[in-house]
Formats: sequence, structure tokens, C-alpha cells
Amino acid sequence: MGAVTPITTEIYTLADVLGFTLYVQPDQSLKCKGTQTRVFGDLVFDVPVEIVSSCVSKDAAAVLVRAIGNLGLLLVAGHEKSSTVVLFVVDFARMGKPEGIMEDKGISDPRKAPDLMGEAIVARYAKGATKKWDKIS
Amino acid sequence: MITVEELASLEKGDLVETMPLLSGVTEEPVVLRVKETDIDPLRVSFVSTWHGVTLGSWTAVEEAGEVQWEL
Repeated sequence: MGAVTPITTEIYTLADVLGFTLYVQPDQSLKCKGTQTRVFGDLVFDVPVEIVSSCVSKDAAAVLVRAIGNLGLLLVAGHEKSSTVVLFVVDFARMGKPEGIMEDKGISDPRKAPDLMGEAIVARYAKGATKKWDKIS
Repeated sequence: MITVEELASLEKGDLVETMPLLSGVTEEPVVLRVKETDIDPLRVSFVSTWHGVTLGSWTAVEEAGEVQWEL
């Protein structure tokens, strides 16, 4: 594995939300690291995040992460700072194997990634220029 | 998050709303649905979900007058 470089796109938003660090590898695949602890009073649990699939093009990127249980999070964003970032909440119980799905399907446009998830997408949130997340469905 | 008294009052099928999982994005809470309850010793098993997505099976037990969680 070669040196990793921090990515410089709006896809940082995922890291901001989850408290993780994202890197793009020399082969353009994305990696992340970290585990964030959630504390609900007496209830304390860890939310590990693992990127299970990714797609990076010249102008956009998509990452699919496995969080806790059947929860997946798909983030799609353009590289421009002004671009809208969309976070898809994915139920892995409603789809086939998520590992490598974007790579296996051979998509070249990260914006097509949600099409691969179909009915497994249970919610969508978008963050545009206002820097505030809004539920879009 | 939940007291021993509240835990003891729960019945199978009850829903308990907790805190948001991604508070930076949405206030949508993690929901605990009671799966099983045992009175003595007090032990309540939950299925945890967020947006309807199963996060796991979590259990709350009473130990020395306090609620302890087994995840």
C-alpha cells in the first residue's frame, strides 16, 4: 500500500458527521478509519465504520459504509465545494451483498451509485450551500 | 437514559425513543422495541432500530439498583 493522501472534497462531510478520517488511496479507492462512541445516558456503544464500496470520478465521489448492524450510509458528492452532498440511509437487510457493489457493477459515475441500492434506501438527506442537512425523502 | 422503574414498567412491544444517532444530520432517534422481559432478575431485551434499520439486539439489566446495558 502506498502513501495515502487526505481527500479535499465535500465528501469530507461524512467524516465530519461520523467523526472519521477519510483517505483516497493511490488507486483512487477510499479508506476510512475510526470508531465513534455514542452515549445515551447509561447506554454506551461504538459505531465502527468501514467503507465497503466506493467510486471516484473526475468530478464526483461516492462511498458506501457499513456502520452498525444492518445500517449502511451512502454518501455522494461532487468535488466542487459548492456541490450538494447527499446522504442515503441504506438498509443492508433489503439488498444483496454490499461489499464491492460499485466496483462489481462497474459504474463510472458516482452519481449512479444510489440506483444500485434500489429499495434498500430508506431515507435521503441533502446538504447544499446552506450547510444545513435537509431530509429530501 | 432509562431508570430501573421505567425498565420494570416496559412490556413486550413497547417502543422507547432514545437519542439521535447522527445528531449533525437529523434528530431522528434510535428506537428500542421491547422483545422480551424478565421480572426477576429484571432483564429487558430490545431490538434497536434507526430509520427502521436494525442496529442490533441490546439488553438492559438491573444490577445493584442501576441499569446496565449488554450490547
